[in-house]
Amino acid sequence: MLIDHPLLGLRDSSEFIYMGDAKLLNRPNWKSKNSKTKFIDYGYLRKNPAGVHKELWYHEQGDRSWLVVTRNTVTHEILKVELARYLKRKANAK
Amino acid sequence: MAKLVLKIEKPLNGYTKVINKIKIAEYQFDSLISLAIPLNSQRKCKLNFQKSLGNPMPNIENSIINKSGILGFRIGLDLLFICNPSYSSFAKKTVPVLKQAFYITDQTGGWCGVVVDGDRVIEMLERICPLNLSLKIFAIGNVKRTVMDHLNVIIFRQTEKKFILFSPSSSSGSFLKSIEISSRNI
Amino acid sequence: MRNSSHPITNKQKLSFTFNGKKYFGYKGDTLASALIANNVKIVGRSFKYHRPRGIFSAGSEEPNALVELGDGPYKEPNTKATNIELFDGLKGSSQNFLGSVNFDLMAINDLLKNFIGAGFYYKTFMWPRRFWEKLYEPIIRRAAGLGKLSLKADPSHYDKGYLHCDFLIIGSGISGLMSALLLAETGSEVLIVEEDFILGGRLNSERLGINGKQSSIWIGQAVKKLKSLNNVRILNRTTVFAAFDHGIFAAIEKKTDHILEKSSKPRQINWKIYTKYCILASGAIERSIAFPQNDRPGIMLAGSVRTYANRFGAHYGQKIAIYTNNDDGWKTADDLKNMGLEIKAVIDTRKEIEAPSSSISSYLGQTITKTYGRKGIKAIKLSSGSKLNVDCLAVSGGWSSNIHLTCHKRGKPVWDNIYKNFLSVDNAQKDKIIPVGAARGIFEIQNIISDTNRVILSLIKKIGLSMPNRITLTSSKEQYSCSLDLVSSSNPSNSFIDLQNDVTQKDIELSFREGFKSVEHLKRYSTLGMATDQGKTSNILGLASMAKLKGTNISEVGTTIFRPPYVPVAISAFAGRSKGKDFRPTRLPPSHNVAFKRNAVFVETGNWLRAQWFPEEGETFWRQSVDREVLQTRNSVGICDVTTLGKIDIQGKDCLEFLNFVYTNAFAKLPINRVRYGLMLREDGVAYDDGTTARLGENHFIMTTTTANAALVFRNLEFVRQCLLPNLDVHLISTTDSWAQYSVAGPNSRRLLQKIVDKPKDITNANFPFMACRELTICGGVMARLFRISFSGELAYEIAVPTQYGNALFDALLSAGKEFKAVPYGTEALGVMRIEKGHAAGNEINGHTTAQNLGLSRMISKKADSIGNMLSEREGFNGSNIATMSGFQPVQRSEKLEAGSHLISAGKTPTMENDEGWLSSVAFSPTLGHYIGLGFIERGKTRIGEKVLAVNLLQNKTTEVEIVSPHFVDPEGIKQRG
Repeated sequence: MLIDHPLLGLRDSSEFIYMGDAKLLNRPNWKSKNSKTKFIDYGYLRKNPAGVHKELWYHEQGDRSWLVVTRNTVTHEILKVELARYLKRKANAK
Repeated sequence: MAKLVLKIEKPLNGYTKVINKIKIAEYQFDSLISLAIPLNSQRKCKLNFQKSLGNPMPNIENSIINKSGILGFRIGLDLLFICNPSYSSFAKKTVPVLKQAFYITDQTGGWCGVVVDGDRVIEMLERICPLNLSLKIFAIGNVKRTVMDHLNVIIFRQTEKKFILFSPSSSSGSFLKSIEISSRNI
Repeated sequence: MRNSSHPITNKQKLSFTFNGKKYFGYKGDTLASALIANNVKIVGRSFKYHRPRGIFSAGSEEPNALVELGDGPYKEPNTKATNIELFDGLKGSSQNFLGSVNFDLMAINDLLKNFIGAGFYYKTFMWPRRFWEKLYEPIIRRAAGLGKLSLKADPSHYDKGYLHCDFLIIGSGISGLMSALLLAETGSEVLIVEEDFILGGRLNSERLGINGKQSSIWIGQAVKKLKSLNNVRILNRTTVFAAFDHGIFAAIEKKTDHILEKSSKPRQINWKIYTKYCILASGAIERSIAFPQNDRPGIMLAGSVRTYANRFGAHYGQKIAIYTNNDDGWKTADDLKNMGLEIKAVIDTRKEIEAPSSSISSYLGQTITKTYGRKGIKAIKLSSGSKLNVDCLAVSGGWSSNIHLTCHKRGKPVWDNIYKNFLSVDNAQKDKIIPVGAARGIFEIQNIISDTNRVILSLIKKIGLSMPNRITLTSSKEQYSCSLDLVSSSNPSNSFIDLQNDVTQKDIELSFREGFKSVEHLKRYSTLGMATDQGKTSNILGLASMAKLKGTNISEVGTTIFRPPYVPVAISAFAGRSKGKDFRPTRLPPSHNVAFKRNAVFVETGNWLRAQWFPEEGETFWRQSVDREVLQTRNSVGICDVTTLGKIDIQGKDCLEFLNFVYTNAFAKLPINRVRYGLMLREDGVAYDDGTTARLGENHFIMTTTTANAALVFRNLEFVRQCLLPNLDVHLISTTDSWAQYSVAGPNSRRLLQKIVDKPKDITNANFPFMACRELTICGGVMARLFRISFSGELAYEIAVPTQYGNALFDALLSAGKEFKAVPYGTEALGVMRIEKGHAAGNEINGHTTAQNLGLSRMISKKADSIGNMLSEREGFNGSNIATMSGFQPVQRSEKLEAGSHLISAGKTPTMENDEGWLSSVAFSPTLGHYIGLGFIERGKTRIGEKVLAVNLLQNKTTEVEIVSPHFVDPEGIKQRG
């Protein structure tokens, strides 16, 4: 597998660590209503679609960037690769 | 009691050897520091870098060598390394200036440098380096971080057939063995 | 037999042995061609029925001629004689027989064939169940299977490597070479991979002309041109065996297999190839026809008979018959006749065709109903009743495009009814595997030439590379059409479909009758196509047979897909150089050389090699050394290398907020030059890691992690930094390797350090109290960091210097410590002292325990959010009944404790229901003079003084233990503050 790192170009997946569903970016606010239920959902419930999925990959043997990779789990086609920190900052700005 | 003096030991004790016409030698340096660019300080750091080292701050995976022979390379969005090969006033004069803009971490003891040089160096590196070493992709002066034989390695291309490989000092013996085996195996 | 006028006879003569007998061949032979030239017919025995088998094909599709090569530890079973390049001194032998290959005692299975058909094992060995392991399995394992392993370690070297290109061309036949020439002209990087040791592919096997001359002349020119180009690389003796995602392929290069002398160079290289496009010029594979006794030695694929004749000048016998369902069989007849051999007959299953050659006697519309000659074919009987004496039968069931690699990413082939052949479909295009030539279902050379030009030029145009000129070649004309007459209608139990797995037409019929009709069921029930050749020559026969039974056609039946590897690959080639000590890298701590000189005993902890203890003269048992190290440290001073603990340099304006979030306890008010112990949880509330973080400056912190979790904690901190709190100004650098760090522990530790530091006053108890830290200089100006932290419970420090001074500092501490009889201590003494002090380590923070279990619930600050904070509140983690960390000591002090023992209330039986906890760490405490342990027991804190049972069912041992405080030594912490 090759991942098109937004800063470094195509890199072999062996340089990366996989961490699954990118929903881990959306950690609940501990002060919010029903926060315990939300944390249980955050901690334990993952989507595992046959098709397009947003996943977290960590470039451990590279620039140490956490990436959000949009990947089709059936065809293994990679549709988009983004820096997690940019996505999260954008979300924070909203 | 005689005063205790601590002697510096380099990870490979100045190793040098030629295997299949590939020169393998420990790359010795006086200091190796990393510079982290604080949040929202790219501009300030660019100016500071130019002022401190006399060269523009390199882009990611690129490098500079300044007039004193100091090698600077950028390995991430907010991370650079400065490798000072010779004993000089660098630590006393340049580092304090850099500190005004960057977060500095001394990593001199953390890395081991190995120079590999020779006509068959690409053939040798093909055995451990997953990166495309074609000059079109990996130009002279480029620097990349990858994994070779299970180890984290920063690879810098000095000329077409000469590279400096930096790997963690604690495993430098294993990495040297990897390079030796690769050189013998071609 | 060898055609004495063939050019191969001018080459170097080579001698080799097969089954102990000496033979001669020539350079350029394969083992198979040399055996044919020497008229060796029986090469092996079949897998299940032990029927005599000979060479069947001329390539890696070979199902029969699997032989053992070499001897001693170099012996390699299951190599294909058809792929082995002959060399002087080669030693080969047959496999899978008992007795001799010519008289195999296991051939009794052949007579039992009616009983051991498809599903036999499933049905027979079901009962009695206990017979399976002791009786059935060992017998079956001995009887079935292929070659035998040497059972010695393989002394050969193997290596791996990485190659990058724009175009990977698999195969160097005419379409492969044409593709390479066209693509090389675009300036792209081209890599040609050829399985054979010579280039040219099928052209080497044919009498075809190109540009009015023998095709070998054109091959020579094309190869010369390609070799002269800088952007072309050619790997012969290399087989691409797998296709992966995103243009990644795996190939095995046989570097020294064709050389007798054992070399220090790697025998094989497992290449990982990265390419933008793959041009699949892998040609086609001929298939057989199923008819009674079609597996006799001397019955071979017609194209292979032609290959042996044209390329090697080798053939069996003088009376050759051809059995075909297509035009290609006739070509073999022509070529052999041209060599001066007698063509007994061409039997063509097709009635309506016009015999292409009138000078060869032919039987049209007929089939073979019987063959004779157990150890080598002697005669055949036709459906018309005539019997012909032959000594070689060349069979052609038509050609199948070699699309194996296009299936590796689940590409389903589609049936082409014109050429009766499966082709790869569009999804292969999407994966950027582009078949050309015969692999694309184009079988006639004149069409291959024009089609390859068209396919490659349109690809170049599509990509937008500079357009080369089309290659103009004139060639001989070929004609190919094929029928689907693949299965016989008589004697199904002797009509072999899959030669390697001994699957007959009867097995297909049985599968059908028993309901295993879908191709996937048929495959698994009958084992059709499941041998090492994956049914390259036979799958279509099985499908045709099933189609006939179902009354439908092959395209309806469909096909199973091929899977990697294309050819079997030795496991050693996957291991490469990573074997023995080179399995993984070794990390050496900075004091390694000193420890080594002091004869330390080392232990692997992850990749680290750490000193476990330092034996002194006269010490013969590890405990002697460890007890001494502990006592000497507690009585005076000891030094231990703790560099392996993860060290993370944290800088930035927002570090405190960051630390407050990753640790459960508050860090917001940590002053400069102070250290704090921190506990990390996982987000699910389970304890994750612990360590200390020191604040060296306004924006500068040093975190330590456990040795085992160093990389993981760093990864998770980066996750928090980038994915959860990316608006904070925080930077993380792993400095584990950059600093050598030593623990200096014991009542004399301060006095020892005062001899090292440049300003001894700086570290008096008043100036440098417990949990202080600072940067200072030692030994005349060397930069150092000092932390007053204690894992042992003693007055203790950790001192860090840049790694390049590490070895020297360890030496300096020992020599400065001579007056205190300072000792170096290893990981064992470190462990004993932390158990004595009651500090949790990996055995306690094991991924199952919580802060509450560890007795650290008060460390979960509720003032701020932190990782794991919320879920640590869940019901099951709290309440008065949870197990808490306690100390344990044997009631009979002389008794030994065992880690892992379960704790049970006195008087209860050791059952799951009565289980109340476990002992996690035990040690002999030289300080107390008896065994002690840490463990977890329900309501531990309230049960101090209670006596319970520590039950170890593995050792059948029960020990009465007393629950005590986990802090065996200095519970008030007076020593460490002193």
